[in-house]
Amino acid sequence: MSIMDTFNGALTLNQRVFAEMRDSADGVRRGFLLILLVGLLVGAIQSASNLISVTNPDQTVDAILAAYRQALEQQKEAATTPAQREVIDVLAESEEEIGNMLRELFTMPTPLPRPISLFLQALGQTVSMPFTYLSNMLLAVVLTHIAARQLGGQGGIRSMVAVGSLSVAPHALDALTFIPVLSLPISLIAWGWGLIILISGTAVVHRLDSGKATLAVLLYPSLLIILGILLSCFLIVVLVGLAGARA
Amino acid sequence: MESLAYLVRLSTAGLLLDVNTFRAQRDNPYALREGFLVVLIVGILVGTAGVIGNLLSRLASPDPLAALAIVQRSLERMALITELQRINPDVDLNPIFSQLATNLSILQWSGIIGALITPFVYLLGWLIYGIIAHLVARALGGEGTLSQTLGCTALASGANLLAIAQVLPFVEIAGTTLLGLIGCYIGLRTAHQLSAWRAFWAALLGPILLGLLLLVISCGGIAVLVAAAQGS
Repeated sequence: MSIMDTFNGALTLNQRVFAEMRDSADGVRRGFLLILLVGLLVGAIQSASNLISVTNPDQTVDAILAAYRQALEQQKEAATTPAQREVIDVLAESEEEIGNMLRELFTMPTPLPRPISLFLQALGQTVSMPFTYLSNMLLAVVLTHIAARQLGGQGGIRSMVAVGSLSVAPHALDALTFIPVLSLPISLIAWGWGLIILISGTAVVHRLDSGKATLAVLLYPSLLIILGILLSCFLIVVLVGLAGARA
Repeated sequence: MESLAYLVRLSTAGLLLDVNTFRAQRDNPYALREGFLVVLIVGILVGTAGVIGNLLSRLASPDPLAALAIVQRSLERMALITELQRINPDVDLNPIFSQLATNLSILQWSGIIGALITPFVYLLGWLIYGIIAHLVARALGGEGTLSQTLGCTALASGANLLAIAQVLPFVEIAGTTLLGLIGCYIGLRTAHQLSAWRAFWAALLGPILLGLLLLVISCGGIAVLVAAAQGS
C-alpha cells in the first residue's frame, strides 16, 4: 500500500487500512514516513510564511509594537491606582526605544550572508515540525495504550505506534494556519479529526468497542487536566496564605 | 568484526521497534558486544551531526554578545529605567549584563562540548539504565541475563538516530526519549520474557526513581538557597 493510500485511508477512517497497519511488519516505518511527510509539508509552508515576514523587519516591528500598545491599553483600563497608571505611562514612553532596539536586533549581521542564514533558519524550522508531531503522537499513544490495557485491550505497543501515527494525517491542514482568520478553526478541526482517528485506531488495535476506546484515549489526558487544575488551586491557596501571613 | 552497515541496520531496527530483531538480539551470543557497538556508533553519528549543526547555527546567527550590548544600550535609554535611576541612583544594569555576558560565553561552547561527549553520555546512560532495569526485571521474575538485557536495550538507543537531524542548524529534536523508552520496554519484555505490565514497570521504575531523586535534590538545593538568603 502506498503512502498516499495510507494517508487517504487514515483520513476516511478506512478500517482495512487500520487493520493492515496493525498487522504489517513495516507498520511503524510507514507510520513514521507519514509523520515525516505531513511534518515537512506543514513546516515548509509555515517557515516560508515566516520567512516572508522576517525579510521585512519593519513590518514585524510594527506588529510587535501594535501588540505592545494593545497590551498597555488593556493594563491601563484595568489599573486602579494613580501609581499603576503612572507606570503604564512610563512604559508607553518607551515604545519608540523598543522599536529601535528591535529594528537593530533584526538587522544584525551574521557571519554567513543574511539570505543563507534566513534559509538555514527556515530549514531548521521545517525539519523540526515532524519531531513535534512525533513527540505529541508518542505521548498520546503511550497514555492511550496504558489505559486501553487497563480496560482489557490486548494490542501491542508496536501496533499502537503504527496505527497511532495515522492520527497525524489530518494535521496536514495545519499548513493553512498561516491564514490569520482560519488559524484557530483549522487547528481545531485537525486536532478533533486526529482524535477520532486515534479512537478508531485504538478500537482496532486493542479490539475494544468504541466506548471503551474513547475512554482509553481520554482517560489520562482528562486526569492530568484535573490534576493540573487542583495543583494550580493548591498553589494559589498556598501563595495567598503566605501573602496573608506576611501582611 | 561487525560491519558498520550491520550495526546501523540493527539500530534502525531498534528505531522502528522491530520485535523480530529484538528476539534475534536476545538469542545472539554476541549481544553485549554488538549492543555496545550500536550505542557507540549511534553516539558518534549523533555527536558528529551535533557539532556540524552547532557550528552552522553559530555561523547563521548574529553575535549574541553584540545583541546583548544592543539590549543594554536600549534599556539604559528607556524611560522606565531612567525613571528608576532617578528614584534610586543605585540602580545599575552593568553587573546584570556582565553576568549575562559571562553566561552566554559559556553557553556558546556548551553546545559543542555537549555534542563531543555524546557517545560517552549514551554509553554511560545505557549501562546505568540497563543495570537498573535488569535488577528490576529480575526482581519481577525475569529470566534474562545481564548480557541479554544490555543487548536488547542497546537496540532502543536506535531512537537516538533521529537526532542526526541536528546536522541542520536550528532543528529541535523531540520524541526520542519516549521512543527510546518504548524500545526499552520491548527489549526488556523480549530479553526477560516478562508479561506486559511487569516489563512496563521494569522499563519505567529506573527513570521514575531517578526523577524522584532529582526532585529531592532540587528541593534540597532550593531549601538550602532560601535558608542562605534568609540568613544573609
